[in-house]
Amino acid sequence: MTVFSSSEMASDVFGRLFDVLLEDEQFVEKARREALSVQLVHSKPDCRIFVSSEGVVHGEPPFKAAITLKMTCDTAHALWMGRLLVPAAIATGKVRIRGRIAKVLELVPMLQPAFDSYPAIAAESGVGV
Amino acid sequence: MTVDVPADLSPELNFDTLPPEVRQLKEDARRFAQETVKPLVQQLDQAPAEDFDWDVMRRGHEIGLTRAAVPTDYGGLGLGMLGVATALEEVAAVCPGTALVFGATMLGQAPLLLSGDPRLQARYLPLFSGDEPVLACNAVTEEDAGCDLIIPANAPHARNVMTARRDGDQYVLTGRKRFITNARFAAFASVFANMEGSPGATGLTSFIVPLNLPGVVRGPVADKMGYRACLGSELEFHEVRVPAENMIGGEGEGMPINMAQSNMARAAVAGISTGVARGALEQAVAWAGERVQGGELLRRHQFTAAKLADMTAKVDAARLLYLHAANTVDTQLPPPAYEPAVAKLFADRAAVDVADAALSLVGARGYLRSYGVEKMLRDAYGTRIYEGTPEVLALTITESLYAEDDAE
Amino acid sequence: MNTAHPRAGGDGHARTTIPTSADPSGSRALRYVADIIELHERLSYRQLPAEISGTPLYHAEDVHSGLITLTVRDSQIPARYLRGILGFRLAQYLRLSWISADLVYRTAAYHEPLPRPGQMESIHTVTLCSRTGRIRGYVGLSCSADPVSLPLDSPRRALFPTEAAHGIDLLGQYARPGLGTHQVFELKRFLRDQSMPLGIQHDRVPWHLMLGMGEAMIQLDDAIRLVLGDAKEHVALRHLRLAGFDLHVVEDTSPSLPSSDPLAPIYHQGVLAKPFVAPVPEDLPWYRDVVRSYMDGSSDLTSYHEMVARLAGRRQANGRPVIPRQRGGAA
Repeated sequence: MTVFSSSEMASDVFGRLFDVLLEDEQFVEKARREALSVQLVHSKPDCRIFVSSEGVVHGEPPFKAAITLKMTCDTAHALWMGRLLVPAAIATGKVRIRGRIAKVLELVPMLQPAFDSYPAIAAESGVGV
Repeated sequence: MTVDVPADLSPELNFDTLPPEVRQLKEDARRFAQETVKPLVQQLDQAPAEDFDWDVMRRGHEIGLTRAAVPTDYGGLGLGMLGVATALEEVAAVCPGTALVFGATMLGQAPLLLSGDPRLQARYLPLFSGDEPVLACNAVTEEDAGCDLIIPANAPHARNVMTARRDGDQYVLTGRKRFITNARFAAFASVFANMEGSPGATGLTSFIVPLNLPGVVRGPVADKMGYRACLGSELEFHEVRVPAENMIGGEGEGMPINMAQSNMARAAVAGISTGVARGALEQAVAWAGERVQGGELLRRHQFTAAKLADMTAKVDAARLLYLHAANTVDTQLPPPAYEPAVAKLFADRAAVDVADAALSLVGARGYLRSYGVEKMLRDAYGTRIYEGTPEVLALTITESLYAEDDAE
Repeated sequence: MNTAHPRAGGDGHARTTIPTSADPSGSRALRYVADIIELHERLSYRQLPAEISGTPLYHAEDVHSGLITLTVRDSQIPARYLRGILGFRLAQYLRLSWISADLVYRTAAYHEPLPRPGQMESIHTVTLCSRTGRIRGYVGLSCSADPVSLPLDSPRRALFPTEAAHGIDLLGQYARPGLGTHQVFELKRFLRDQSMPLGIQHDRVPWHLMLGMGEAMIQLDDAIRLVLGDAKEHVALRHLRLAGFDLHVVEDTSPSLPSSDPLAPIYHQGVLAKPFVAPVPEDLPWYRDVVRSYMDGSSDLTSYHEMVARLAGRRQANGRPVIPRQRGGAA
């Protein structure tokens, strides 16, 4: 039994999460400066989200993303809730990343606003905690 | 002919060109090796085990060898393993021990890079951005536990592993690590200890430990066969209290973190092994190009030519393998196990084979300590021991052959 | 200079001062900032003078006290050194509890924010110990945030941080044709290394910073016409007056910053900084020459007090007291 009951629910929650990130000036400035774009490929249920300094796009990406993150929705939920820690998630292969890893490692510390916002976003959408 | 190199590293690496910033560090490292290290190579090798040349290390630090993998946000060069490996090959071609000082520092930094914890990174990674050289180390190996701490299946059977226990907002570490490169002078260590109560090493946990904490004792320096420019010594932890926030990941998550950092590091240390092989090859080529026997330069004799060809092919193949491995590690998380293991396995063998062939080719002179070839053979044996012996690498490669390639 | 009173006596380095937090559960935040302070105490930048790109606005070595001072623009400083300088600023402010430990912890900061790329650049004066390479002092001249230079009385101009914090317009009174916001700089972070022991370096650092800053103003001429900022009466304001600046100080403001601003604690002190503004004095070269000749031993001045007396003497001769008459009372 997964935390997200549908692809639409997952798209809504993770889309809103990245909207929060795009309100953070530091993140946007870095994303623009480094031409960073991220493609999230979630499964169970399927959900694809593309994020760049220009905004969030659901479904097919407008162009090939600089970084691709692949994980199940349950893994994503556990990560953003802080129950699954980033190094373990990466080391055990629960999260798989493709792209320029040096840039990924610089990006991760800037995700704090998303970590702060996620529990509320998930609760509002009725995602099981 | 010069070729424009794209600024971005594409996963489809063109092996004939390197990104400009990687090429810059490689050139700086070559100059450092040739101008600073080479004149001192014999001295570095033949000095007493406890001697350490900070002037050499300062120069390497100045060009960025201690911070090549540190993100630019923390004052580093922000290069991945490709940058580290190509630079270390240059240094290792002259002195692998010097190369390993910087390689081991990177290894100590690796868990921080993988941690995703900005506060932990901010407290330690900028240490390498000042002008004074700072070193780090990775403390895994113990008296009774070597492979048992890097092969998950062995973990339940590990004995007498260093322990960690939680006490309020701290962890208390007790135990001893052996053969730790840079432990003598490192500012901090990434330390792997087993949670008290967990059998064997099944509760292995990763910590960043500043080595100026009460209870840390830097033990005697080992008198090694090779790699004598770097110091390997013991580290003792007598009830060392470490803040809880210095743990990387969670309790018991140290094994996958250790494996991930090993996979990252193997791509880079394969560069060191390749450098050893190349350094030996260069000496053999020089000798065969000037020695005359039977009225001919040695290189024109067929047996010698065959040897040189074989040696050259091994060096080139080792390089291509580590470039591919480093590029793969730089573009994937978790770092893959297969490519770095293959690269290191091959490069380690190449180092021993090529150094052995060089020694035999140079003959009596090669047997002299003053000539420098025998040093490369002694160093070559060292590459097969750290960051995965041939046996461990074989197990890793074989496991990869049968692993299913899927996310959960 | 905004410094806490130096610790009396004692050689060698003082222990790291851990800023206090009103929240006991902020122990991790306190440990974090203690580590950041210690990090910057370890870092040194002996190579900085050689790594500056282009010609510095000022570069001088005081062999007598073992200090090197550099004045440079943002773009002349390689990235890791700029982070180091901004980290020194952060560490000193943390020591003084003038910046929120909690916010520094929450943002995982280890240096103050990098300058945003723009048309204008700030100017940094750094004094280093020539032996250790440690930063011993710093003062900044921070540029306007306006993308283009605007008249000083333009309603569209961006307020300087001092103006915003004190809720006042310091520049309107100086508005005239040919003078724009790009010719105004805010004096910021006039700091000495809090861990530095008392001694010759401790005494000389502020004056080296003043020399560097003053030399930049002289060299840049019309590019810097006005300086503003806020400072405490008997510390930085006194230094500026001695250096010839005719300060217009605004009394009785109630400065504050939003609690979300990491610098909010700076205005929670007993003695508050006062906002000031001053034109760059035309006779600034005279003051520079007196200070420089004392510092390099080439003048007839044999003591610090004599130097101060000579500087103060010129001010008084020009009808400008060093310590202005307080409103409603004697000086």
